[in-house]
Amino acid sequence: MAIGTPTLQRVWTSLPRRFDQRTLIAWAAMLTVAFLVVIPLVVMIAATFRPAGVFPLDAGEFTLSNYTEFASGQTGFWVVFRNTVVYAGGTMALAVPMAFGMAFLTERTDVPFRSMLYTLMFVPFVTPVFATALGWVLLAGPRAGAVNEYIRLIIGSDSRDGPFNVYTMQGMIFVTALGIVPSMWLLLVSVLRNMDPTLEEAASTSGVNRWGVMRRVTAPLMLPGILAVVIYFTIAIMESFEIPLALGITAGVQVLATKIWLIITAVDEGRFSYGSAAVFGLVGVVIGVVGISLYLWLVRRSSRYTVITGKGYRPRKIRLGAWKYVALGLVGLYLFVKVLMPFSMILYASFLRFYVPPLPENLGSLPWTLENYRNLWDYRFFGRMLVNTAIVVVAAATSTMLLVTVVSWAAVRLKTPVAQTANVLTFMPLAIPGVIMTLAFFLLFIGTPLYGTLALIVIAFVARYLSYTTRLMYSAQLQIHKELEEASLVSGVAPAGTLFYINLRLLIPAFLNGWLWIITHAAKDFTTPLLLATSGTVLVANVIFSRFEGGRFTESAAVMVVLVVLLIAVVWAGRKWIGGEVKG
Amino acid sequence: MSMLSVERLEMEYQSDRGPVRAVRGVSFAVERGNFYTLLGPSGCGKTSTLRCIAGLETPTAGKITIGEEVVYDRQTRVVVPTHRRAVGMVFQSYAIWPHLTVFDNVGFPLVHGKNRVPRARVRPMVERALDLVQLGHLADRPAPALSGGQQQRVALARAIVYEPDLLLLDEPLSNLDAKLREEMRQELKDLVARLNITTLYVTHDQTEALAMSNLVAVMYEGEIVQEGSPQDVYLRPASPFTANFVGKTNLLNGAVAGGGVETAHGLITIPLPDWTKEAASVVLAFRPEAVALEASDGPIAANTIRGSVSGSSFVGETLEYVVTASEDAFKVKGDPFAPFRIGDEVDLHLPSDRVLIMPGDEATRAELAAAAQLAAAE
Ligand SMILES: Nc1ncnc2c1ncn2[C@@H]1O[C@H](COP(=O)(O)OP(=O)(O)OP(=O)(O)O)[C@@H](O)[C@H]1O
Ligand SMILES: [Mg+2]
Repeated sequence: MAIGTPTLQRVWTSLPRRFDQRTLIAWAAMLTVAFLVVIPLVVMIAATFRPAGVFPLDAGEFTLSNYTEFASGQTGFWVVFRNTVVYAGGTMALAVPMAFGMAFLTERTDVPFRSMLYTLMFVPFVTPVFATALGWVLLAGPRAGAVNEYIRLIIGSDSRDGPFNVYTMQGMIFVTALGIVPSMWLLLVSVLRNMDPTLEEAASTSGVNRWGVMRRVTAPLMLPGILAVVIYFTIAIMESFEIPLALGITAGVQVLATKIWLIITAVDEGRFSYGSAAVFGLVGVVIGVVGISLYLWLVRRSSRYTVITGKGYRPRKIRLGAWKYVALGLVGLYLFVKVLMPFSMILYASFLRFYVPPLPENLGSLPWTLENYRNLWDYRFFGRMLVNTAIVVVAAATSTMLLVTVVSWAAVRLKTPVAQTANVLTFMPLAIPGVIMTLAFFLLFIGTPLYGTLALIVIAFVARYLSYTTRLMYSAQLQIHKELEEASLVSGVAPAGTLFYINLRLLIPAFLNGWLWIITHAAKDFTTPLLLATSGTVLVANVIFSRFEGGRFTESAAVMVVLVVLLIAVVWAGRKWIGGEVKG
Repeated sequence: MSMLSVERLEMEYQSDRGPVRAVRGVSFAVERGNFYTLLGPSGCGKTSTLRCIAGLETPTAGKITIGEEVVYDRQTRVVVPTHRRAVGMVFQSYAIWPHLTVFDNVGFPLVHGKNRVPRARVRPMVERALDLVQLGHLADRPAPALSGGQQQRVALARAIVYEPDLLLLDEPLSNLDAKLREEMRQELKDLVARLNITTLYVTHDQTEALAMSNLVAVMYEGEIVQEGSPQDVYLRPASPFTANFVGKTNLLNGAVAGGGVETAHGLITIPLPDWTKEAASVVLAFRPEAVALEASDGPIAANTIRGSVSGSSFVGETLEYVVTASEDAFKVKGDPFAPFRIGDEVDLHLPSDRVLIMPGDEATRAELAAAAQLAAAE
């Protein structure tokens, strides 16, 4: 450096020249993720210190009353907490054996029609959770539930109730457990698949019998993986909203998420009490963070065991013999109970003017109508609400996937602290209950021009679906040989161009998979629309819920049917498209 | 003016167990139009050096100049990012983009890169590059539908299509079968000579290095241990490592004695260079083909080792013998038309001008350490 160089330039040249495009991209990704996950959290914590009627970031007094009220037990926290724990525990106790049994059947036995079973297991993914819950109300509602009516008819009971009642804790657990089995199955299948069969073979060739192999080799190796899945779903259920909303409110069983919802929607002397809702939210976050830490720790342990051989992998299949038809029958029974029974009730109801249980004495005089569907066309909201929903889900899916692609690219390729931070932050939404996350966005943006726009709903969706899709893209990114990108850089294409022309293009199959996943989940979601939609931004979920609440139940059923049909069409078209992309 | 100059380049990887020093003070220069090869065993830092030059890794110290431009300098904190360096590179994995056709792969740098050309010129330029590697007929194939050799040609066409100042090749032939490798070797050499592109070539295959290069640098544990023409490196290796790594060599320990070196097999008379005055132990090195092999007959002549044939293998153009004499086994070549049998008594005659004398192992290590210290101090 020559004497007399201006100081500024000297300072500049002494800086490490690392602020190239890649660094900028990593920073942009990190800051976006931080905005999406850290700010809502900060807002929520701020809200806990503000009295009723004051927004978290407004001027005004601070208070500890939300905490004292919470600690005094006035808010009924312990009841809610106990309910939440019982609900999650019961659901897991019922769902894990079913999901594991099914994963074992499809992965490790010679059960017939395996590929068809795989396809069928994806069917439940398109039915909205809320719709399944309502289907069960029609089947097992204490008075008019069809199953109840038939049982009473058959046994000749005079009672007007029972024997089943879906509006109970047991009812909630049953419906939830049936609902999560497919997602749980999907994760357990990969746990079973990552197990290197040669480890088992080594044990059997050293003279251990099959039961011994199971107990001493297979089980210990898979345990961390299975536990991780169990913890993951336990958190998800402790923070789930829709089934407790559809069944629990009537049952008088409040869990964490519905309690928050009730506090927010209850207007107390014209003042909203976000503060006490936020305290509940904080409890949810603590549960989530503890659970996620445990989950991550277990995942790390289980991946330490994972032996990636890359050799042709052919696990030994257990021959079921005649039992395979029993097994097949059980899977069939599950699908019948999970999908066919509730959904056929919804379909049936959607063609009635008012709901009448399908009993023999009614069959002649059912109030058949197409009115519910015709109303959809007449209804002035319908066009707008469907368009709104389409805009929101497509925008949310596209922006989430773009963000997530960049984050996982940075985490895999750059490995800088900034990139790692972005990657770690994407885990946070898993720990923050959906209701809380959405509530935070509500609190942050109420009073700003963004409030009451579709954009806000999109942002909330992006934040909520960040974590799952990051996992998806991260593992896809690992499969891409880094020299493919380096070849582009050497060809004179800048990092941003390389990311776009090479990386993103090669990741298209994973990108589309994640995209479809978000589309189907966002379109079915109730949490975000119920909290964030305003009269100008009504989504399909709002219409379903308001019809349901307003007692126009059969109309609500028709909207659900339309939604499911549309989702099936989207998923089918999307899968075909991905198939074409992968080949082409 | 050299096309590429690398000065005291240092590079470290951060691993779980602390930093790994992959490149330790490497310096060399490649003249315009030359074919320069980095030759060394696996893990010696060849790829790391190449990646530093391409800008794919950031060195920890040193200076790299491509053409007129300083692309990396630790002192002045210059780091030119990869996409602005005027290099073309062929990767070991070829890195052919599977979502593009052959034509689009080769045209990619011209369409999206820094060396963008008007649309109308893309087609003729790509076609010319494909013709140069004799792939003109495959332009519209999807890239995954190619054989290994064809992929290698596509990668080469993509690297030369924008006529870079410097071509970097990382073991481009190592994934090919033996026959094809030999063909491509010649083709590659002709091609870069025709285009007059300055080339830096990385390989662990000494035949490739010797057959293709103007200059060869032998690398060992992150350092260049010898640089020279192929003849230099092969015929006059400067260290036992080079002698052993570049071609087959027989090594024989000994001590300097009047007029020669005293070994376990008697005195070998050879001219003694000056440095031997201070050397306690030395190593003699001679190639299998440097030895004259004869059936034992009468008393042992001067500069001769007597032993017996303990192994032989017929490789076509020659017969390779292992001759055992007391503790030592020597590799020797013989006439395939007049074979010896196992157990035959033979004499190895060592012409004094074909035997090299080098410092003993201890001394070599000390010499290398001293050189490293010198480089670090600068
Ligand atoms: N990403 C990395 N992290 C840590 N160490 C590395 C990494 N890449 C290479 N190394 C180490 O650096 C040293 C030099 O590696 P390099 O790839 O340059 O060797 P090479 O000469 O190209 O070998 P080969 O002929 O096997 O390709 C090796 O010891 C290697 O283990
Ligand atoms: Mg290498």
